[in-house]
Amino acid sequence: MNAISPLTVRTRTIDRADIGEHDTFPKLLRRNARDRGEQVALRWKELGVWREATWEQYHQRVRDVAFGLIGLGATPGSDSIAILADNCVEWVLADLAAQSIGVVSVGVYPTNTAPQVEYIVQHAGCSVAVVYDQEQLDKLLESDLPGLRAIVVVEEKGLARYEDSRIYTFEDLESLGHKHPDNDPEQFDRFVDDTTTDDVGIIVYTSGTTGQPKGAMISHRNVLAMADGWLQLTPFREDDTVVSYLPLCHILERCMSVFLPLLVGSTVHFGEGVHTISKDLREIAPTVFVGVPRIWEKMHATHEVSISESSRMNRAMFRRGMAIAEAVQRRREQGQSLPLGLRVGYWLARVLVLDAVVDQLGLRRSRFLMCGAAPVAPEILRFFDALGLPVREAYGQTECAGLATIHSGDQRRYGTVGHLSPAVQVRLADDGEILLRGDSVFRGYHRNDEATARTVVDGWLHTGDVGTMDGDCLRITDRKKDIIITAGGKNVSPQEVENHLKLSPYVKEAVVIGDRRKYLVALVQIDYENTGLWAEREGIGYTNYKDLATTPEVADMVTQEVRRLSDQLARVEQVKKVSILTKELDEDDDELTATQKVRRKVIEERYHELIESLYTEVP
Amino acid sequence: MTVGLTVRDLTLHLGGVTALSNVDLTVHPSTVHALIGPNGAGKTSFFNCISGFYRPTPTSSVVLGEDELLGRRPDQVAQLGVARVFQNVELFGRATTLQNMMMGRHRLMRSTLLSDALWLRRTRREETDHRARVEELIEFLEMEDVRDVATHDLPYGMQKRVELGRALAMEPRLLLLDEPVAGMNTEEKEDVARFVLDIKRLLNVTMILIDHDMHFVMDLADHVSVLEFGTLIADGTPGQVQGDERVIEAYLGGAEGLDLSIDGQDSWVGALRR
Repeated sequence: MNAISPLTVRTRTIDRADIGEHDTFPKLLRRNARDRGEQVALRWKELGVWREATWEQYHQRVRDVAFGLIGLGATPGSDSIAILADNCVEWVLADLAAQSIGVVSVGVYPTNTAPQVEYIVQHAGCSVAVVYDQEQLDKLLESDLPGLRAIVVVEEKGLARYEDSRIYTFEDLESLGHKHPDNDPEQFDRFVDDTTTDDVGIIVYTSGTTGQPKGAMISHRNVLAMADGWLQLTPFREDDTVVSYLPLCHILERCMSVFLPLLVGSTVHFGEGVHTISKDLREIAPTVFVGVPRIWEKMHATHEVSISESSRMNRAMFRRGMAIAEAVQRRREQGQSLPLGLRVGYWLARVLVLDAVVDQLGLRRSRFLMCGAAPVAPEILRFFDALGLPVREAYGQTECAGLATIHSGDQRRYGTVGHLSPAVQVRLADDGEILLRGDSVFRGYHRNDEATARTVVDGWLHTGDVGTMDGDCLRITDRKKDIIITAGGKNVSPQEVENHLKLSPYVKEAVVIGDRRKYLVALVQIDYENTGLWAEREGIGYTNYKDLATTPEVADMVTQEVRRLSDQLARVEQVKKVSILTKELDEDDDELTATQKVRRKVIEERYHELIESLYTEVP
Repeated sequence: MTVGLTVRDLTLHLGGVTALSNVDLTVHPSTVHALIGPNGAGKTSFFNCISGFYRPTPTSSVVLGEDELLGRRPDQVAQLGVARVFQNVELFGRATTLQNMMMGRHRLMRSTLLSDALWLRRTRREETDHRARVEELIEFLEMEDVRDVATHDLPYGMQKRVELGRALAMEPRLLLLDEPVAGMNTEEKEDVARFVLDIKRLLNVTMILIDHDMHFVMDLADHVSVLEFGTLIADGTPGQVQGDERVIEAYLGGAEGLDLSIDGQDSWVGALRR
């Protein structure tokens, strides 16, 4: 039923950013249209059917969109546009179209609130905005943005009742560009020739766990240098396939869906929407899959629950298979060889049990798996490794254009973030802060010299992360400002403890507190779905999150879970008291960043009384 | 293409009870026409007359566009372009969303049993065309993620949405909505309200709506008719009806057996007094 053309055989492995004179991303798009014009660059699902575009078609559409942007009033060479949309083909078209005419592309999180959107669009000085649907359109219309000349909407539904003359559909934009009097290949080539490698191609607003977002200016050179280092550590292949699903304004997904495919020629897929991602994954079975810790944790938790709900026979089979797989995983991690019996057992376990699990996850064909953007508990990665899915942990940040370290080769060094990218020099400051230097270090924060001066000193990017070297791998211990020093003078990394607690399928979020205190306590947000299933099994009725969270049985169960996990930690890291939050942490309430990271400070202030109460009684 | 409905002298006897008596009303093309009234006022009977389940008295007349609907079997009425979303969920539970919606295309399919069995090119093309239309509706109703899920596994609000989708798959000229938001939470109600407006505006379907949630009705309807004990007691715009003394009387005083404790019904009174 799905109209996917058979894959042409192209299996070249690419381990350098081999760009020649094509030193910007628009130039690379032109190169790909020329060199691999017939190969599929993009696929997207529309009305239930996968459609595709070749590199040549991709290039042509980008050209039309670029002239469309000019037609709507964007000034080539000195302007910026905002893209406020869920992942879709139009996102990447607009992104590259802007860059092709020397206009800076600014991605905005679709989950950002109207005031946040207003701040970013205003601060970046965008003249055109591309938005996904009516919901995003409303955010712009209710903002005061005199500089915004046009708003392009991808999803036309519900637009009829708007009368604002600035509104266009994406189709309007493409046909406007197609018919633009200056639109011819030579003129477009001239625009692309005018882009230079040190131009700022994109500005990425970092959500930051404190204060207003800052706009990191990133040049083509920054990304190309970063990608060159990355490819040396973990080569990609021309026939790789990716499903685009993390927010595209984040540097990580932008690398996966735009930058790396332009360098290596892989194919990017856009599913039907945020709700269909697990189905889309199963349909595509991508060779490359990158998740943030929350995604891996969620896969792990869903899986644990579905096993506990299956028949006794299935459960027993799975337990047995998993025990073998874990034994294999341990030996491999320690570099020991596998005895024949274990090999046979593992083969059987995979055929009978584990492969089915992998298939369910849509990772059957996966070749490159990665976890990045935030710290993850090593146990999660060990679980996937046992399933036969080695997940590489990577470390980086927006300010170094993406990745700085990643597990390379077949080594399993869980707990570290892997080997140093050849693209950066790494130095540890006296207080352990990780400093990076190299071509990938960004061009500074847009209109914020003070923050830039604080972040980049003598060419060294101050990451704010604290780490140590562990052999040739880097180990991150914490964010500099988050480290807890207990009343006893011991340093504790709250993130490590929190990630450990999140191993429980019932714990969705944990916030560990204990700075200058005698012991650690944790605020826990239960996983509504999994805890709800548990409650149903136990015959406990509930109506909503709050009701479930305040049920005494749930409190007991979660406290026990936390105690069980906490007991596995060093004494000083153990959590003595737990309180369950009666409300889910929410981005709209400022408790989470757009990337769903916990804003510790806000939470400590908001739940001040609750926290104090945990310290008033004897544990 | 869009048509209106003209109801003249509609009278229905059920045993010894007169369920509807001499109801006259006109539904204009591409509008949302609400039918409200206390329990037992005859609203669902009205729908059953239109769709051919009940036999009103011979002098009654219900004309859709040019076609007289009375005196026809339910399948013949459906063939004329009348679709209905039932008060209770009436789906094929083990079939997927997609399959249930393809069922809605039945009235439009031209292939015969034999050509289906032989899977002729014509049949294949027809299947593809119908599937394409259904896919458009799946997108329209934002159901991509449940396309292949058996409907009995879906939450209630989503099942109602599938029903709406199946009704729309018939490409109806007239859509009868019997309590489309009963038992839904606020968010689900808002979704349905949005879909009803989109159906009117984008698909140009004429709709008759029965519901007890007065905020929902008064916000959506272009025109409201009020029934009490089978008789039409008021007819007009939402504003006119809300101020009508007889309507207020019917809801607050007259009608017996009115259960004010039900959440939706509490809100009528508020909406009527507004």
